[in-house]
Amino acid sequence: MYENLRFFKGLEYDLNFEKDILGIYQGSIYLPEVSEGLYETINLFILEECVLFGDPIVNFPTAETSDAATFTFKWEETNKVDSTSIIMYDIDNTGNIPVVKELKTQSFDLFDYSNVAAHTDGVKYLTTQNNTAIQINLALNSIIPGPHVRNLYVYHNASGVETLIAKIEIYGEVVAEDERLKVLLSNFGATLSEGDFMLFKDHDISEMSPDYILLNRKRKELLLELHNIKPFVGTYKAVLNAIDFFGYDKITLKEYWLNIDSSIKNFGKLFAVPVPHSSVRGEAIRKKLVFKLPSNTMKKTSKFSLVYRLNEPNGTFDEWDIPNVTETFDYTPEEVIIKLYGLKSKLQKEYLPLQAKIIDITAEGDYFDQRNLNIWHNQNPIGFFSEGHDVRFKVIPEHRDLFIEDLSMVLKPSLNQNNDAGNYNLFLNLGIGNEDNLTTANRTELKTVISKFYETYHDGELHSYNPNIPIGCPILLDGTDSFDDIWDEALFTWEDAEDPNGSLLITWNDWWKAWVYEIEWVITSKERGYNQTYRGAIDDYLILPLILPYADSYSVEMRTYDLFGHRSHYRMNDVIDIKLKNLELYGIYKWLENQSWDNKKLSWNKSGGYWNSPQDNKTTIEENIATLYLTLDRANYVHLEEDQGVRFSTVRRYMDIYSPNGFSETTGPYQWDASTFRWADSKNISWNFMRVGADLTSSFKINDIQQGDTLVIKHTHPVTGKISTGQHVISNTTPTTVNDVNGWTQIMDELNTSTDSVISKFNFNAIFEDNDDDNINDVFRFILAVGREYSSTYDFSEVSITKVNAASNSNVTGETHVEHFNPTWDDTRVFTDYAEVERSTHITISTDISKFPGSKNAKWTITNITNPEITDIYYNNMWLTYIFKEPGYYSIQLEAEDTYGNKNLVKRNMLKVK
Amino acid sequence: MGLFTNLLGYKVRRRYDFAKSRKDSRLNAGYNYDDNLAGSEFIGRSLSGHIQRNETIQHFLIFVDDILKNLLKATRHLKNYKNYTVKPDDKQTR
Repeated sequence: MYENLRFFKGLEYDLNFEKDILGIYQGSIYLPEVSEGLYETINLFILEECVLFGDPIVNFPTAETSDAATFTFKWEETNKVDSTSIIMYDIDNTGNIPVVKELKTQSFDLFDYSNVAAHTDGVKYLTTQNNTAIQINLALNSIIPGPHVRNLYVYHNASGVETLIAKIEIYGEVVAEDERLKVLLSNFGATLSEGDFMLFKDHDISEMSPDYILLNRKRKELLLELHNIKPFVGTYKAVLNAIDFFGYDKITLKEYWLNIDSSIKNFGKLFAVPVPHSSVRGEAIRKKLVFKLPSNTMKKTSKFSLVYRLNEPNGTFDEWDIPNVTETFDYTPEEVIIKLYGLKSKLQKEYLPLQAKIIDITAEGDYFDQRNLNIWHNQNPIGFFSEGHDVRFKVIPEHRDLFIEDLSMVLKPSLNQNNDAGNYNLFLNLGIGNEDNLTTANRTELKTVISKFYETYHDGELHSYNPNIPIGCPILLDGTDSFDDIWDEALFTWEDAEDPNGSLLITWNDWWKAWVYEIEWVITSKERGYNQTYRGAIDDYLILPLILPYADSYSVEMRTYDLFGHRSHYRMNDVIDIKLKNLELYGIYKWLENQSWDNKKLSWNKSGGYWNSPQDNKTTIEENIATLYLTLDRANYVHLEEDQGVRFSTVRRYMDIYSPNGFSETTGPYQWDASTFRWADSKNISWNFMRVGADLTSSFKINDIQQGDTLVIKHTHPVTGKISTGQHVISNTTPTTVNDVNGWTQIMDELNTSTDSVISKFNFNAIFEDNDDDNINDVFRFILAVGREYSSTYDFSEVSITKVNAASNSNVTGETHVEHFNPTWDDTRVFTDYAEVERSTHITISTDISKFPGSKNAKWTITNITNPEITDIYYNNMWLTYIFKEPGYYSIQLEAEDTYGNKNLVKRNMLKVK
Repeated sequence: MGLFTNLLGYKVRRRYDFAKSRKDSRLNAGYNYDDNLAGSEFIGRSLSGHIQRNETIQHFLIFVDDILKNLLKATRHLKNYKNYTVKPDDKQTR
């Protein structure tokens, strides 16, 4: 019966029990060695080999009859040593917690026979399967060392009949503590007490008693290893060997080092460094340290750390090529607390120096993440890309002083001032900051004009005197330097400049302008507030002609605007410094040399003066110090007595119908009552010098004349002495009365239109009187004939009227001949630097040889340097005429300004009055 | 309960030790009284057969024989005790 039962030791192997001759299964089950006090268990599984649908299977043991059948398990007492330390047990789940419960016997109902389709030759053919097994739990626990044997018998019970089926011997050995080792260790001074069993890595912390198998082995190991530990207690070696001894071969011992280098940021921080030869991984870490130990920047702290692993890379990689790690289940959290803290205290107590402490237990793991380092190889063309441009410019003319110039002088070398069709007047009257209003053609012409002006600068004198004339400093702002690229500097070839169709994209014009389309000039003066901005096309504004009005320092900024939207600029501060030309002074005065012909130095031909006072005037005409047409002709600057005072005045003629010759003169500066000089002071002054005034032209009065009367004028040629006579017969009707203003005007006009060579030397002016002040002439007084020039050539030697009849009242009176009072070559001295004069000398000081254009608002200041009690004398006119009465040294200061208010000043100590 | 039930437990051999020394071929191991002599043979050889006729005496001599053998094995035990490299009950020590 039950031919096909199979016995298994747990899930490990088939016990291969076989039946004896009595048909009883027999066999032994060997339990592993177990320490005393500990449990060793196995599970015995009993199954039956059956056939289900033709296939062999193992099944729960099945009854062989339809009667209810059970297998009963009992311990059989033998005559030998039966150990009751081997037991059957089960889990009792009836309480709140599972309890292990020893069973004396066990019974199992067999699989019902109704599931058997056929039972042939001991083989059961099943219809359904029950693939569970009969499980018997066996355990050995004893405090008695040595072998333990017990026999388990299996009985089949059916219908009240009990049949022995199997005899199973259970064998186990219990290992006790080897006391020899304990004593030997004690003899060597080492201890490994039973309480230390928990420290071993191999020990199962769920065991509540010491595992003497482990303890015996470890004690023996310690005996063998003690010579590597005991002599080195207090060293790394002892600690590391002790750690290894307890089985912790993967623990790394790290020591804390304190950074004492105050110069770095990690000062005062602890670094955990594996001690040498601590572990394979620890050595790998040590080799990568950036600092070496021991060192003078790291200090020992005698603090240690036990470091265990959470995982280890297992050498495989995932689909992202990240290393896989395997969790190392060396320690559960409970094990860490129980074992490692136990190890820590054991090490501190027995193996570490007294001051050394293990201050923490740390877990380390490797966790990999992917950090991609992507490297692209981009083939970029290497080129230069510079935004904007290197702006450079210059001011033309370069390397010379710039002055405010008379604009007419600037224009004259190029333009005809009389050609109204030209641009002479446009440029002349351009004004301030109006260069923008010029056309491109105008600007081009003005560039040429300015260039030519500076080319011909030294060809003319550039004297300029008229006030309020257009002035300015002509310059050119030249930005050409900004565009000085040449083809040799190009970073591309000519072929690169073509598009795929062969069209040339870059032309010479595109190239050198560098895509700049506009230029802006900003000119700012330092003190006078000139601030102008000119912006325009590059072609037009690259060279900008300018006329700057002020003597000032100018800053210039050039800006370029290109097609990429960049504005480049460059500013040069105070790049233009425009000055004013000096005011130049010279003086003239009349001086009579008290010389006789015998003392003369110059020859007859070269002498000047008069017969009774020959002069040695060594100044030649060519020196041209004084302007003949201006200063030497006082008619140009008649000074009214009312304006500045008597001493500044000059003799002035005024019409006086009651005067015999039709006019009178003011006194001029010399007046007897105001004279303070001595007679001796005037030895170099002639009587004529006292009349400070213009030349006197010839004149005569025609008091009455009738139709038919003949005006006869005789003229003597001043050189040849030849006498010519001019005549004119009055053809107009004789005016009826003196009130016939119109009639007398016609007579005057008739005379003025005479073509006679002598008669036409004179201007005829009809003089009327307005009696009732209604601005209408009422009464004819006379006709005043005046020589057209202040010259003997325009003088008469005799004048008369040949009456047409005796009834004519015609007469001529008031004949006055030419007389020269202007300074002349014969009696005048000119000085530019310094002069010594007598008191009461009348001096005219002029600045009309200055090249300071547009000069006006002259302010003269005369200062007697040697006598401060004499107050300064001020005078406003372009010519200073003055009688210096007081002796001493005089400084003459002239302050003037030009058209745009540029102030100029000159001060000279140029006079001594004796 | 038999006469010797649980009485000869001290004579039970450790089976696993056989596996550990099964192939051993060692010299100078000393004479194996346990295996080479039958129970009570050691003392029986020195004792009158007359005395041994009594069954009770025979049963008693089994235990006396074991005591005598243990006395002989005392030196081995002491030798083993100081030699931690062998098992405490090593049989090969002479």
